[in-house]
Amino acid sequence: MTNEEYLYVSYFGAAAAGILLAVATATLALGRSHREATGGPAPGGLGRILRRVFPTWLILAVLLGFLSVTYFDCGHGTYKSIVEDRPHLYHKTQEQVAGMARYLAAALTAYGFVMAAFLIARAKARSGGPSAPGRQ
Amino acid sequence: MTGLLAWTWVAALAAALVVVVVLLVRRPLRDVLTANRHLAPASPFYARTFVLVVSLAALAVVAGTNVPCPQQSAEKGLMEWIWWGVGQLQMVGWTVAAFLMGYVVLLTILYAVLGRYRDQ
Repeated sequence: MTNEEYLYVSYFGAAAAGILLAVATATLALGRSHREATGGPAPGGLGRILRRVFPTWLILAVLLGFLSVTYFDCGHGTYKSIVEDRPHLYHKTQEQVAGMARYLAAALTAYGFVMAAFLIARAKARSGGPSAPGRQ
Repeated sequence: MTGLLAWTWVAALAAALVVVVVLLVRRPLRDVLTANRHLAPASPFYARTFVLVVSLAALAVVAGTNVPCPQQSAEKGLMEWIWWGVGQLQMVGWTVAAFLMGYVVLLTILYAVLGRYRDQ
């Protein structure tokens, strides 16, 4: 495999693998538990919105992680110099994988805060406010 | 070859660290998230998300770790390999700790607000 072929395969392969990881996370790993958490009546149809937004959010996060890596740097200013340097291509693929994993982890944590806000809004809507402290 | 072996060791130790953190946190996390009917439906979501976040955080560091090139590998002594591995594990530890703290903040806020509700 030539360096240029390796570049094509690794670039599009990493992007496809990242998107698959995001989809698998949103459906296989968290799909059911997310439906359980957002199911039932919620104010303003928030649950339905969250169910639609969740997979999109994860896919966007992975794509952002992938796109945050650039092949150009001080020693590689042209396309030719990038393609000639195989270790540089390996290193950039590693960076892409690392970036996608990091962004996905950050996106899941951030979504946890969104889910917390949703749970609070739903609890307030159902209960009409918290009970007085100490009351059962 | 030695570099790849060292990288595999770092990956295995990072995986072990993730398992230890998950095992330590899993039970108290479940206790907090089953405190009342408002929190309980989200309990499996947060538990699974926690495992995923910690694993992805460790993966991000391990995947980004550069294996030393063969020339450098041949010159390294055992202690140098240990220092190299410890340096990578330090990054794994920092990243996992940062995400763990983020989760603790999230759960504290969640419990501080919703923990006041009582089931009838």
